[in-house]
Amino acid sequence: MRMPGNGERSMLPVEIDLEHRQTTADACLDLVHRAQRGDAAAFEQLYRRHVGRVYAICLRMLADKVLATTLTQDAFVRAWQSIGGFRGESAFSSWLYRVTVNSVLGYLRTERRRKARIRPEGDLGRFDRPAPQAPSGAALDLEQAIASLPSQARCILVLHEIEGYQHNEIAEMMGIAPGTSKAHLHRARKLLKERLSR
Amino acid sequence: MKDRTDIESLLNDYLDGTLAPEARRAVEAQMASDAEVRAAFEALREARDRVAALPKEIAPPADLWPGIAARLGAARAEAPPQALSHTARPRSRRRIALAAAAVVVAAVGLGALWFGPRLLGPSWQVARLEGVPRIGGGALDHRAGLLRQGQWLETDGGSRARLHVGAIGDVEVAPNSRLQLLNASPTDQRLALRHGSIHARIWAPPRLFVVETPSARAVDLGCEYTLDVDSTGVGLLHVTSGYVSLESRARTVVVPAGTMAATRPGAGPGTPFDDGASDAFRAALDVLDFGGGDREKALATLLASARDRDGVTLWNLRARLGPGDWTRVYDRLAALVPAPPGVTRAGVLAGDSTMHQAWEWHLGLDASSWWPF
Repeated sequence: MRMPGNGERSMLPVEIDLEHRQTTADACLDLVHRAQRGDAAAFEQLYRRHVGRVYAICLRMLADKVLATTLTQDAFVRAWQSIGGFRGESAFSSWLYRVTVNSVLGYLRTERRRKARIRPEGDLGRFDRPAPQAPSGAALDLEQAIASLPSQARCILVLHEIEGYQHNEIAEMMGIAPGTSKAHLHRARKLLKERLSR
Repeated sequence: MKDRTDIESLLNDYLDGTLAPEARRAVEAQMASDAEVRAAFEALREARDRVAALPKEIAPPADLWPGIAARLGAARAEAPPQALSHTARPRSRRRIALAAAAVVVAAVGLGALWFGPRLLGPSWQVARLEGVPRIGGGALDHRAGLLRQGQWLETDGGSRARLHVGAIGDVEVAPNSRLQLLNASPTDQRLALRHGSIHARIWAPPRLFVVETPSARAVDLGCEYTLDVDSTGVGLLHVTSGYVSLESRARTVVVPAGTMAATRPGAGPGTPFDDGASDAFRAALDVLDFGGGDREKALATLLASARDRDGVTLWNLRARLGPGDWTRVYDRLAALVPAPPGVTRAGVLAGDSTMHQAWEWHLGLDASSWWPF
């Protein structure tokens, strides 16, 4: 293997990482462009890259494995239908995750109309099949504690703490005031703190 | 300082870095002097940090792509509608024609790829789960086999099987069941359950998957459910996700998640009821749906034992009752579940369709909202 000489610029780890990210982003953009032209095989590759994150969003917001599976599929079908409108103003992943969140919130709005018909929350069995990179026992306990939170507080906690949305973004997506989003987050943290300290 | 609620709110704001400098200094001073406040903050921070450190990805329990691919095809032709207008600048007719041809080829290719082996084939794959199920009279003693259109699948007391319904879902067949594959076409996947029990999980557009029973037809509207049929043809449907339309010549009812509905030969489907309804409520409903008892007494029992979660039943009963009884039932419904905005008692009782729709939305009976595509 040829090593870089004194006069050559060596690749520092951070540069390698940036280069790798750029390559990955370019490949993703290429897949997006192909999917926009109707290439379902490219869309399948996008699915395979992002399904873990999309499913995680659905599962954590819904706390229900069956529903999370259905809503994950809904999100990808919706993304396929509207991918032609994706202009690349944000990363494709950000756009896809927003589509996912909107799908879940739309479902929850419908379910809220069905009032108390939602299945009991906090069914620990919903997390009985961990990811290949299985979280530790403590992480599983935490997932269970999150799943046991009231629906709206849970969604806002997931969106704010895990997905990194700001209160004004959450408020816009959920049709509530930013202050309400904040209040739900505080409540979720309080409940979580109590449940984790039991 | 302030009361406990205010302090918690301030600690949260401090944690999020959204406090003004003066308030931030006040919180820091309070934490420095009050160990309890400091401990409360540390617990909050720990909870937040642990949540933020959770893995961003979780693998789904199965590969969801086949179901998605089936829905892409079912929703519309394979190419996204905006694709050409957005990405292909029409420099020439030839280029447009080539692009269109490419899309058609891609569409046909995808269709052949996904729908050919999975959906178009006139058979379903069968996986043996336990014991030795029988297909077409022969034993399924390998791990998997095919159930062809027209063939019967039977399980005895010690056997179970799973049917793969093309790319749109699966059906688990319980012991002591007998069913026949009636149709396996792209637009109609249909079986007949003569007796026994099945559990179906379907991710397909509405009305693509149908189960015929001796007393009613269960039409999938995108859902998960269990269907039991006994040797006399009496059925019981339990929907756990989405909606099922239970249909007969006499009646059609939409059964939403969390509810059940009985069916009887000659009478068709009964009224949906909450899966947590009391025995008294269910027995009374059985009399109202299928007879065999004192109707007036049954109605009184049903109204007395109704809870707010029984609103779906009360609403659906209007099809079973005369105007006088319906008024009693509606008043009980409105006492248990506040009416939606803009709905009046007089309007509902007069049959105002807008108000009826508002109630159906309110009670979660609008199946069209379940499948948005």
